[in-house]
Amino acid sequence: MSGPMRAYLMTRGTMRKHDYAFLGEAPAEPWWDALTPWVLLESEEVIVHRNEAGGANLLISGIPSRRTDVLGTRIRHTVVVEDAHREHGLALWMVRCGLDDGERTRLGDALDGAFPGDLVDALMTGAHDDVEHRLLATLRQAAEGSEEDKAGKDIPGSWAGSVHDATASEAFMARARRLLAEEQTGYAFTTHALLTADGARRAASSLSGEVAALLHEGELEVVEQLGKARVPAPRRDSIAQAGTKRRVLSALGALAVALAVALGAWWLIRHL
Amino acid sequence: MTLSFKASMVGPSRVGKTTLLTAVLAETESMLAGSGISLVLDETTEVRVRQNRKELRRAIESREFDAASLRGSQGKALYQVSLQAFGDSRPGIPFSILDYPGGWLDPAKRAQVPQAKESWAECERHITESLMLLVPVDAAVLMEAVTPAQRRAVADLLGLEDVEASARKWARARNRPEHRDEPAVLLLAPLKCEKYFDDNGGKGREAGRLRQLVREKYKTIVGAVQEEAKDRSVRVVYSPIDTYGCVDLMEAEWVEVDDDGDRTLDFRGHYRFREIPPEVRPKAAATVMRELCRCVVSGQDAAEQRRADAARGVYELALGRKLETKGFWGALDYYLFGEALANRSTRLSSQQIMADAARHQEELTAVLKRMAQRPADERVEEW
Ligand SMILES: Nc1nc2c(ncn2[C@@H]2O[C@H](COP(=O)(O)OP(=O)(O)OP(=O)(O)O)[C@@H](O)[C@H]2O)c(=O)[nH]1
Ligand SMILES: [Mg+2]
Repeated sequence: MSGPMRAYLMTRGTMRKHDYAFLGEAPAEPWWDALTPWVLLESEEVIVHRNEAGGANLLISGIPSRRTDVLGTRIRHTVVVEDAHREHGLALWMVRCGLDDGERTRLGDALDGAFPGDLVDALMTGAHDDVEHRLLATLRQAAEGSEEDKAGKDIPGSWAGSVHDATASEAFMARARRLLAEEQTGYAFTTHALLTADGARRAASSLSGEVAALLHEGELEVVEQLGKARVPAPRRDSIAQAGTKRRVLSALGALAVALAVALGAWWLIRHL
Repeated sequence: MTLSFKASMVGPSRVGKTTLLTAVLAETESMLAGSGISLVLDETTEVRVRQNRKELRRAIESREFDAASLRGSQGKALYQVSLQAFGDSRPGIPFSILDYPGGWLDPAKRAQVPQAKESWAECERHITESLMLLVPVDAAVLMEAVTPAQRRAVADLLGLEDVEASARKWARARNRPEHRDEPAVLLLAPLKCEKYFDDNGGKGREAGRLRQLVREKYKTIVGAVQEEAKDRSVRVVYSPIDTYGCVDLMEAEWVEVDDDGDRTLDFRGHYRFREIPPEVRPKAAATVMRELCRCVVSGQDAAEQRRADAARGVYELALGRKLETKGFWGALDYYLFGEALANRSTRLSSQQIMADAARHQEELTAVLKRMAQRPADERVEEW
C-alpha cells in the first residue's frame, strides 16, 4: 500500500557520458513504462496514474533547465512523484506545470536553483546528497502561493482531446484531480507521440483502467470517446456521483446475496 | 516482436544517432522519388521524425549554426518504416531501426535508470536480430585530438569499450546456426565530418587521415566482430556521412572536466555555415538503406535456393502466419515470397486480386533491387 510522498529527479550532466539518469535514488518500479510507447518523454509530458492497489503517481518530463551539456544542448528535468495524493495541492500544481509553459519554466528554474550544474555533475560521478529531501523542499516551496485552478468538469469514460481545446484541458485537470483523490483508477496523460483518435485508442486498449489523453500534435478537433468498457456515468457532480454509484452498487450486491440465500433455502426445503 | 528487417545503432550519448537516423529516412525518401514506391512511417515514428526534423531545422534557421539543437534521447525508440506502393494498404517491406539513449550502452548508467532494465533487454534482442549494426563515429573528436591529453580522452569519448561489448554480442548472435546464413553488415559511419571532405561544398583534404584514424581506433572492434563471427562472413562498410552538409567546424574546444576525481577532457565543436542561407545537403546517408536493401536482396537469392528444395507451406496455416516470429527468413517468406499476399488472397479468394498481388510483389522486389544496386557514394568503401 502507499506510504509518504516520494520524489525523484532525472536529468543529465555536462559530460557526454553523463546521460539522463536519476540523481540519487531511482523509483523502485518504472510504473510509467506501459505508457512509454505512447508518449515522448524527450518532450513536455505529464502522466498521472492510479492503480487499484496503490496511490497516485505522477511524472512530468521536458522541464527546461538553463544548464547545457558539453555540446551546448539544453538539458531537461523529469520529475517522478509517487504517492502524490498525500500532498494534493502540490500534486495538482505539478499537473498544471505539465500543461502550462510558464509554470513549467518556473518549476525548471526552481530545480536549477536547488540543483546547480556543479552539484548535478558531482552527483553523477557518485557524490552523495539527500536528493529527495532537497527535491521535496524545492517542489513544496515552488508550489506555495500557486493559484488553485478552477474546478472544471471531467468527461466520463476514456477519451482523447486536444491540448488546444479548453474543454478537454479542463476535463484533463478534473480527471487528474479525481485520480489524485482516489476516486478513479487509470491514466491521464498528455502526449506528443500520438496524432489521432485511433492512435489514442490503440494506447488506451493497451492500458488498464480508464484513460484521458490530451494530444499536443495532430488535428483532433473534438473530444473523442475511446470506447473502453466502462460504467456509464451521466451525472453532473462527479464526486457525489462516485459516492452514489458506490452506494447503488453495494445495494445491488446486497440484494443479489439476499436473493441467492432465499433461492438456496427454497431449494433445500423442496429437496429435503 | 513483429516480423521486419532490423538494424541497430551502437554509439555513445551525443554522437549523432538520432540525427543520423533522421537523415537516413530523409535520404531514403528522396531516393524513392518517382519510383511509385514510398516510405511509410508508422504513427509514432512519424511523430518522432517530425519532431527531430523540427529541431534540426531550428539548428540551421538561426544565424549561427546550433550544433546542439537536437535533444538527447531519453528512452528506447523503434523507428518502423516500410516501403509501400502509393495508396496501397497491402503489406510493404517493413524495416525497424533501433535508437536509444547512448548512455544505456554503459551498464553502470543503466543501473541508474529503472526503465532501462526492461527496455535494454528488448534493445539487446533487437540488436542480436539485426542484419546491420551501425556504428556512428564522432569524427571531430577523432580528428581534432592533437595533444597527448586529448588523445587519451578519445577512446572514452567514443565509448569504444561499450561499443565493442555490444558489437561482440551482435557478432556472436550472427554466428549462431539459426542466423549464420543471414546477411550481416557492420557499418562504420563517421559523422560531423563535413570539414574533412571536399566533395560536398567543403574544402577539406583529410579524408585519408580520417580513414586511417577510424581504421586504427576501430581495429579492435572490427577484429572482435570477425573473431566472434568465425563461421560466417560479415561485410564491413566504411561510410563517412554528412547529415547537415552545410557547416564547417571552425573551432575545436577541449573542455576540462572532473570525472570522479580525475581531470579529463571533453569535446565541443563550434561550427559555421558554409553559405547563407544554408541548405541541408546530406551525403552518403543513403548508404544505410542501400546496404539494408542489399541484405534483403541477397537473402532473397539465398532463400530462392532453399525454397527450391522445400515444399510450400500449407494454406490452413495462412491466417495464423503473421503472428509467428520467424526472424529474417520468416520476414522474407512473408513479405517477399507472396505469403503476405497469399494470406489476404486466400481470404478474399479472387483471381483478379491474386494477379494484382503478384504484380505488386514484383514492383516491390524491383524497387528493392534498384536501391540495392545503386552505385555507392564515392566516400564508401568495403573493408
Ligand atoms: N555538424 C554536425 N553535427 C552533427 C552531425 N550529426 C549530429 N550532429 C549534432 O550532434 C548533436 C547530437 O546528436 P544526436 O543525434 O542527438 O545524438 P545521439 O547519439 O542521438 O545522442 P543521445 O540521444 O544522447 O544518445 C545534435 O545536436 C546534432 O546537431 C553531423 O553530421 N554534423
Ligand atoms: Mg538520440
